[in-house]
Amino acid sequence: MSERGRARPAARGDGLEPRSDPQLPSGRHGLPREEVLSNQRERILRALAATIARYGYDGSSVERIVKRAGVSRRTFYEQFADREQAYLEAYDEAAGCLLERLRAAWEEPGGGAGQLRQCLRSMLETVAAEPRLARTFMIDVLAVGPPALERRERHMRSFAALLERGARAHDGSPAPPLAADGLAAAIYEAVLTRVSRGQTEELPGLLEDLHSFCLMIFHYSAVAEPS
Amino acid sequence: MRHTAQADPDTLAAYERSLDRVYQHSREVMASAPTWQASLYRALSACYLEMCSDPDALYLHFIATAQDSSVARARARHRDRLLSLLSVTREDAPTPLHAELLLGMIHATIRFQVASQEDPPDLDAAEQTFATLLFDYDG
Repeated sequence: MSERGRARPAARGDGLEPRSDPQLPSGRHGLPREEVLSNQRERILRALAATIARYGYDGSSVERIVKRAGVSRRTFYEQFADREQAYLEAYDEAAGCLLERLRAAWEEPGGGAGQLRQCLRSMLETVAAEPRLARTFMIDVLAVGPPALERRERHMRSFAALLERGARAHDGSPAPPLAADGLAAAIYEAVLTRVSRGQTEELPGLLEDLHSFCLMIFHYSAVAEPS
Repeated sequence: MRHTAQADPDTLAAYERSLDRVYQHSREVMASAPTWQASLYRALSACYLEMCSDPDALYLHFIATAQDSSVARARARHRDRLLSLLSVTREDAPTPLHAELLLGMIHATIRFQVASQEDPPDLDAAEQTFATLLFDYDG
């Protein structure tokens, strides 16, 4: 059933509402053009995510996005070829940001099992903190089409590589064939299930069970490496 | 895999009927298996056999489910009832999340194989994957 034009129920505390700081003062502000363009781009991407969260991808016209961003259509098309390109850039930014957080978690002390735990915790808490953003990028990605699905596969591979790194860090041996890819896909689906049901607040509570499952798949000794 | 199928209402309805048959079969075999792993193994083998009997269903179950929201919802409903059946019929079942992740891993692993080959893996190869993941489980 199409949701075009119909607003979705609001979610709590998703941090997606436009912040008060991004919009530049009107009139002559003397800022360098690069800074103006960067500010406009950020506002458009933020507005795109918020608009899709509210109306779905199909219901998020460029008109709605620019209205929310407080920019003109001309400004939008100076920055992006179309709505799809804007979505793909927003998707890459969101996924890149999440993956950066997960990589940072691997740098924390605690041994392989502990680092894996930090990585999973970071992932669960980040998604739980942004339920509408999670819907925008995990559910609406299906409405965007093949270019978005290709990006999803690429980011999933990066996530799998992170998990694989955890397995290698444990004893230096590679993970079983396809184990990291299969595990990444299974974790993604488990998170997606909660996002679809509007139960993202449950995600942090899955940490211990998820961690023990990953340890088992990679044949960690949880006793030897306490988390 | 070259096959493509549109998830039109008729194809989707046929796929859902396939899932219903799988579920019905699972109800019959899960309780009587000696272990929860064996019960899932039987259910998954029956599911794979059912999907392989219809190229459209196979395509929807393993490929379109990652691309089409209506197919994804149909498979998610089926997965949820299968997990619920496991939890209700097997006292020795793993935690719900472990069972969910195991099913997810098995599905993803078969999906990679289906997507990367001209023909889907035969039943023996698929069962080898089920067995490796299920019987290695040491939760």
